Amino acid sequence: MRLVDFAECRLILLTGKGGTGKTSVAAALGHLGAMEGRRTLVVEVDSQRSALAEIFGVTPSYEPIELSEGLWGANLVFGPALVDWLDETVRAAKIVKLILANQMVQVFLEATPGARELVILSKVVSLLEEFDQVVVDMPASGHAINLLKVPTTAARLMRTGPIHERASDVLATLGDSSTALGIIALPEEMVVNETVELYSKVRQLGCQVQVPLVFLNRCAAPTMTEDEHTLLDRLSDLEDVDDDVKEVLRAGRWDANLERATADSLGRLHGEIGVGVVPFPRMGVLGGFEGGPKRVVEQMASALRRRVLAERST
Amino acid sequence: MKFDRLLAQHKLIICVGSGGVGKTTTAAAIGLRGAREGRKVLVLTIDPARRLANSLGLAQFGNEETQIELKDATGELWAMMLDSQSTFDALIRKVSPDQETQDKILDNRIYRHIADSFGGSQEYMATERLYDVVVSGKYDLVVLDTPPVKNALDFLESPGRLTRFLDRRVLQWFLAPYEEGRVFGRLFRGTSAVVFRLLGYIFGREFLDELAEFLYIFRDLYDGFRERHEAVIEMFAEATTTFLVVCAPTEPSVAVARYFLDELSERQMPCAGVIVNQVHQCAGSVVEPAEILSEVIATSTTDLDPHVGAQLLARLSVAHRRLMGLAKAEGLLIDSIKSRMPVHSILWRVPRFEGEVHDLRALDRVGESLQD
Repeated sequence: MRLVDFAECRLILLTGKGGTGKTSVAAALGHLGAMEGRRTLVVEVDSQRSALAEIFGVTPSYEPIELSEGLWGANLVFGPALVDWLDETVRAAKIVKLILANQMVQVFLEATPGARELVILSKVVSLLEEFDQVVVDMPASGHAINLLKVPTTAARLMRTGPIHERASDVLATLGDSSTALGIIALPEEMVVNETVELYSKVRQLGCQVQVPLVFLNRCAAPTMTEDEHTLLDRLSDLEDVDDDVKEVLRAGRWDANLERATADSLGRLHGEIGVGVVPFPRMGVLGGFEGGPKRVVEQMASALRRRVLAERST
Repeated sequence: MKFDRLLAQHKLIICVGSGGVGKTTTAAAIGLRGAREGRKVLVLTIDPARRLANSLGLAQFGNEETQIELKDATGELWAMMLDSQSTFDALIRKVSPDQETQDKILDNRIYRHIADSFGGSQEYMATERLYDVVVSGKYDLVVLDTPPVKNALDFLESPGRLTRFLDRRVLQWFLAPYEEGRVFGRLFRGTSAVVFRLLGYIFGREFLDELAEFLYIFRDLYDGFRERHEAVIEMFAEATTTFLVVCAPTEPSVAVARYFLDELSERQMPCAGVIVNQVHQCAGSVVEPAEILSEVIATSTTDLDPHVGAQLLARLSVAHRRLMGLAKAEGLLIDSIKSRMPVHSILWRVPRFEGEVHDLRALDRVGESLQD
């Protein structure tokens, strides 16, 4: 799948190993959606400490708030999501009130394994009615799998009734051709290992969600020639050099290793799982964090936009 | 403080931090160091992603304690990856009063699903297994690698969530109609009756019946669960337990580390300090690569493309400036953690190594860098 088709999906789910930059990619895809005139919502799932707040300087609440022009953010916490869920499931205000007033039911619903996940996923699905596009910053790898297993399990356990219907709704949305799951990775061996494993686990899930793209963050495009590598190796083998020389060469090897790791990772992702890869270059001219995370997200969105425009023109 | 002293003074070390910061690698390195120092160590991971096995150079290992072969070590290193289903099953076997109860639970359809696939069961079981291995007294030191949960110390709360579910009051409330039903043929009375009909409507009667059966069997196990959970919480507060916050020098990871430090202090949990992994090393002296390298380059490139020297110099210059900028930015981030650390706690910096850390030799190097 091309990025342009992925970026136009109505529901985009993002996961990957921790620390790979899921939230930044989520924010960048959201930014892209807003730039292209879609009313876009980026959601965090049940998070006590908002990662979107680090980027936009505004802490998203349960009710969507506008983070920047055309881009909305929300944090789907369980409490209010449960109220919404009961409203939509039971469809009788008096009865919902009665249920919520009963402390035992509260404990029961909160602690019933899977209830939390199903309620939140249902909310994601219903937000598609209000927004053109919803981008979900999902939990890391294994936890995302557990989250995505819930609707299948619930539909199987409860063979009739509203939960069965809601779980089936969620499953239908997940399997829709306008829903896509993206995995975020880094050009590092262990991260690629986990990405390959995660990919096969998603494919084994009961829900038929498509996984067309991997986003590879912090790539260094391979531009070093064989001769440059040879020379760098020779210089690194020299003995009796002063500390400044050692440090400059170490910096060179650091750069060269990033290039090599990028090439290896791209090759493995193509070869082992055969998905499309969208690489992001390293952000920050000096490798630092000039301009803060918001600027980085804007740069990433620009990179995505260039690629989308290029794909559209072919 | 020498890291070895920290290892010697504790029986349980819990590594917390966001994902992707080398937490598992750190836990493995700490375990290996402990084994080198002559102790019998178990590294326990509740991370579903098998990172520990990766770090130790193994394809995978399961719910059983597996010994890692070490040369030149006076102690022993063991590792185990928590598997939710088998831990749950083992637990049921342990707490069931008789064979019949045990079989009934293990065959219950709801139990199979809860143990296998419902979210959070990994965490439910983590503290149970931890309790087992610590109480067994088989190990001098247990190092726990926690899952990269977004919500800070969730893994401390999750058993709470489970035991709340199995709370006697909730069970009694839920099971009363069923018990009555057994005697009087499903007699519902009062508000509960209305709410019950609603739950039946929402969840489906079939599910509620099965759930009731499941809880009916489980009700006698509740006290066992609660006692063990309390024992684990007590264990966390002991003087021989400590938490280590692990992070990488990146904006999001440092934010999570600060958050963990605040949470731990709020819960009055002991915290020995912060380990910052993957720190880029750069002394930061301003140098002109062309000046210091031209001579050696001239003698090293006789058989290569004539432009390669100039090309590499330009590249080295950019790479060095980039690395310097990165090291400086990381330094500022690391400083921002220090103010949040408890008194007497320590900040360790582990450099980013060339090549990845996933064999014992590399783990030894991580362990050594913790000694400085």
